[in-house]
Amino acid sequence: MIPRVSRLVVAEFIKVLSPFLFALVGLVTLATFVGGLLGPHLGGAETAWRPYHAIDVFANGFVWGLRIASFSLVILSSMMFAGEFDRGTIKNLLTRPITRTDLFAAKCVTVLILGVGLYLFTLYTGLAVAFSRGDLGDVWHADQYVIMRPYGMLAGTAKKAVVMSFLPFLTAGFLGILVSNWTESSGYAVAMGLMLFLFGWLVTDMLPISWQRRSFFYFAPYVLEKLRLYAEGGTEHWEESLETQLLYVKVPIASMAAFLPGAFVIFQRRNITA
Amino acid sequence: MVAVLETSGLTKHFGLFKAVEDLDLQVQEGDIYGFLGLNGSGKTTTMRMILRLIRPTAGCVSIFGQDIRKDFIGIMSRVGSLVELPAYYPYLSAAKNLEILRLATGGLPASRIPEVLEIVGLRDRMHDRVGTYSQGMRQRLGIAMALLPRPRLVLLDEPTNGLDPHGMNHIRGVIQELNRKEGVTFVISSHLLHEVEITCTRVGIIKQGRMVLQDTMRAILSHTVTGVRIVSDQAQKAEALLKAQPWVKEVQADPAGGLRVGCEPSRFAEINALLLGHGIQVSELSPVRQTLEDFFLSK
Repeated sequence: MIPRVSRLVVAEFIKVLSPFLFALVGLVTLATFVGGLLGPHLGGAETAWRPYHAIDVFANGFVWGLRIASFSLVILSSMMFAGEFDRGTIKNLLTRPITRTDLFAAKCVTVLILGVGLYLFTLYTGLAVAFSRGDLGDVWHADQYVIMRPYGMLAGTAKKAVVMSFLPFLTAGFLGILVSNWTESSGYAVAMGLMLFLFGWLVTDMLPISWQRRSFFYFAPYVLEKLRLYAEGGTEHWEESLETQLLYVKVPIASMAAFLPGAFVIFQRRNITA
Repeated sequence: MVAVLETSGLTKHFGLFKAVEDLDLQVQEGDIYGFLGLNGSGKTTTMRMILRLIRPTAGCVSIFGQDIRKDFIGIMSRVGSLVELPAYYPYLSAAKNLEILRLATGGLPASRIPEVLEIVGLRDRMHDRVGTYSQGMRQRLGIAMALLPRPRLVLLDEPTNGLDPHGMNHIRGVIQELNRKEGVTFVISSHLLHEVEITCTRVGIIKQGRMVLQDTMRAILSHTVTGVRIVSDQAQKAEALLKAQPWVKEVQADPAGGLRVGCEPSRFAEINALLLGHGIQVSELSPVRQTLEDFFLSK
């Protein structure tokens, strides 16, 4: 099975590496730059005493970039299966010496690799914007000559924020895989995927905090917002329970575990009439 | 002869609609099997069930003597197919489209791609985006996809759809050459009865999901003989004599001066002897055939 899946993953990348993917990557870059360059202005003006901090720029750029990257991942994963049904190419693939399980696994691995790639790209773009625009070091008070946030603490929080937003980001791809198996129209699948993603995001914001923590939509915006506030010198409380209870790992993995079996069963049972 | 493809009691119901009912299909090694049926008769559903794209309600499919459910991967490495319209990634070239299928198939060298595109006459355009191809070129690409794995059995659904007469002739030649030289077995579903008549060696006719006839083309063509045409210098005398025979169904004079006699082919020699015995000279005696189309529509 592994050699077949590996070959199929290579084949998937021949399909995925299209001008459309590069357009999405361009949008992620643009969002990261816009967020990184404009975001700090919204938190207050830059002064000679206190220039914009690189981690503030990074948090703003990364959160914007990650939003667009999440939408991109939902779009790409929603098209994974539905696109094959749409074009009828699913019958070309399933009449080769492979099983449906092979193809399903290959598509999941492709989404996983794409997700990791998009995440790393957004991360490094965010860092590039941060280092080109902001300063490193401690965060100083704008008027008084006191350190509000030591650099070591900020860097540690930044690492935590990056780690904690990774799995929730990937989960968006698995939501796309589920939606992609509901319908045989890629346009409809993308629309449904984006609607569900936006709906989940908005609903999560309205829930009581104890419920919000059970949604994978919660983590990335939360940790990056905290990072931004810290980098501006704010004294926001960081929810230790997210780390101590490993919620940023458990909730996304539980969500993936809920999405994948459903998608797999639908794909296995579907009659191919495309 | 070995059955390369065999279905037994193959059935597919979509709710209350019986798309295919108890279908027994048998394709021998080396056949070019014509699978005929009107639109909606169940040809494509049968092909999809053979290829496991659709799960049958009942029945089973064996290819190369093995149940397809038991060794799908082993069997499909020797099967090529084109089901309904050819499907492709329009933003990729023909070479890239085939590369995807080469990777999915496994065990094929990269050199097989130009080779198979050469066979269908697309090698010159192999690096152009498929979205820029004409319908006929896309159909050729579909056939190239079917031939890619060096199959021993190829299932083609309407393979000459969208091809011009030259293209149809070319693809027919490819099918016949692969069948003759490499012993590849073909199952071809088509509405073009003339194509089937000149290409296929064996035919199955499906109607409302049921197989109504399955035989060699030679035997089917013999069923299409409905009588004999006679040209004689004493047409009126011959007509009166033949009408008196109980085994003659009908006698009609045709505009060219001949007589069309409706009877079994086994009576042809008897007719000749009868006429000669009554001093009637026969200058022409030839079988009268239904076209395959008339025969097909009568089933």
